[in-house]
Amino acid sequence: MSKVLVVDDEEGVLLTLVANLELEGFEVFAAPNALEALEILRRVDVDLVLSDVRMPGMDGVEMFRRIRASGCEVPVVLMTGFALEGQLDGAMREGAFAVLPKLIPVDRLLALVGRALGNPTVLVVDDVSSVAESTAHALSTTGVRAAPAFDAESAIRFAATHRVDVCVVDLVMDGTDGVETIRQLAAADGTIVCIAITGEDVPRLVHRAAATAYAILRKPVEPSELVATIARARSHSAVRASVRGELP
Amino acid sequence: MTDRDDIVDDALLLQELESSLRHGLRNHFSAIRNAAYFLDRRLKAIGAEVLAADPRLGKMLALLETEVRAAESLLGTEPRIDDVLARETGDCDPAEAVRSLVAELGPIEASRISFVAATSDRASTSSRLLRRALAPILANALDATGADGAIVVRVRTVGDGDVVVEVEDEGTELGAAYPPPVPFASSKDGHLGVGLVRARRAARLWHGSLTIGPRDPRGTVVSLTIPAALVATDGSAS
Repeated sequence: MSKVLVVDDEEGVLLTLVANLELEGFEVFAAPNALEALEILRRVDVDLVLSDVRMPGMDGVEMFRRIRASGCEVPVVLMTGFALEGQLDGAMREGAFAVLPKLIPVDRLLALVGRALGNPTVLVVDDVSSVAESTAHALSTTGVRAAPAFDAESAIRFAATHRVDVCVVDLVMDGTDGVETIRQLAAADGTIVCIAITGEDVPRLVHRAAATAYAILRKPVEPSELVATIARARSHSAVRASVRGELP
Repeated sequence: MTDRDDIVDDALLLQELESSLRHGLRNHFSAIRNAAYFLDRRLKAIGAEVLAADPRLGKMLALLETEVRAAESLLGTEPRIDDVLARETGDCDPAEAVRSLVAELGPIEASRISFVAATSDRASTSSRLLRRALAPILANALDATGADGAIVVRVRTVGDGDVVVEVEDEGTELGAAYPPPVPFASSKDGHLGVGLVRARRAARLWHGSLTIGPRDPRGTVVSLTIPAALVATDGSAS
C-alpha cells in the first residue's frame, strides 16, 4: 500500500484530503505543519508528499528544500490557494513534481497522485544521442526520472512499455521531425504531454508544434528551466484549465 | 506625495486585502469540494438505500460541486485594482530612489541616515513603486530608533544578481510578527499595520521578497529584494 504524507495547516482541507486519499486505498499520514511533516519523514518511508505552500512558520517550499537537502527524493506535490506564487518557480526548478491549485477537483488530484506514485519517466527525444543522453542525465541529477530516445520509433516503443508522462522532443531531427514525433506520441498515448525544443530557426516547425506541444523551448536550455517546465507541464496536465496568474 | 502616490499606496493595500480574502476562500471551498466528493463516493458505496429514499440527497451533493465551481469562477475574476499597479512599469535606479527618499525626509532626519550605494544596477520597475515600498521601511526605522538613533541604508547586488535594499536600525527589534499576515493586524501600539504590508505587496509584484530580521547586537534589518530578472547591469533595465 502506497504511503502518502499530507501537510496543510487548514484543518478542513487536511481532514478532507486525508479522507479521500484513504478512500482511494492509500496509507495516509497527516501533518498540520512543516516541522511535524519533516518529523514523520524521518520515521516513515513515504512514497509521496502532498503539501500546502503557505503555512505559518516554515512554508511548503522551504519544507520541500529541506526534504531534498536531507537526500530524500520522494516526489513532492505542492498545492496553493493562489494561482501563481513567485517562490514556487524556485521549487519547480529544484524538482517539485507539480504545483496544483487548491481548488482542483478531487478526481483530478487523485489521478495526479496516482501518476506521481508511479514515478513516471520523462523521455528525451533527440537524434543527436549525446544531447539526448546528457539531457536525460541532467534531469536525473535533480531527481526527475528520465531516459533518452533517438528517434520517433524508439520513443513510441519506449512509451508503450514504460510509464511516460512527459516527452521533451527536439523539433529538427533526421527522419521523422519533432512535430510528427509529437503527433505520433499523442496518438499512441493521449496522456503524454510534450515539450518541444529547438536550437535552429525553424518558424514553420515551431508554428506547427505550437498547436500540440505544451511549451517550446530554445536551445540551449538550462537544466533547471527544463525541470521547471516539466513540473508546469505535469501541473497543467492535471488541471487542464488555464488559470490567472495571481500573486500571493 | 502626489495623488498618484496615494493611489499606488491604496492599490497595494487593497490588492493585499483582496489576495488574503481569495486565499481564505479557496481553502474553504477546497474543503467543501473535497468533503462533497468523499460523501458522494461513500454514499454510493454504502448508502445506496439512503440515496434512493430521498433523491434530494444526490442533488444536494451535486449542487455543492456546482456552487463551488461558480464561486471558483468568481474568484478567478480579474480585479480592476491589478490594472492600477500594472501601469507602474519603467526603469529606475534603486540607489537614486533611496537618495531622493532620504532627501525628502528633511535635513534632521536625513542626518541620521548613512547611505551606502554599492551597486549601479538598474531595475525594470517604476521608481514610484520602489519609493512607495521603501517609504514605510524608512519610516519604521526612524520611528524605532528615536531622535538620536542611527540608521544605515545599503543598496547592493547579491548572489545571482538580485538587488537588495537593506535598512538597518538600532532601535527596538520588530520581531517575527512583522509584517503582519494581513493588513490592519499590527500588534504595535499606534501602528495600523499597513506600511510593511504595502512593501511586501510591492515585493510580491516583482516576485521578490521582503524579509525582516534582528540586527546584532540590537535593532532590525529589513531587506527588500528585487530579483535578478528585473535587474540590468549594463545601465538599462531588462
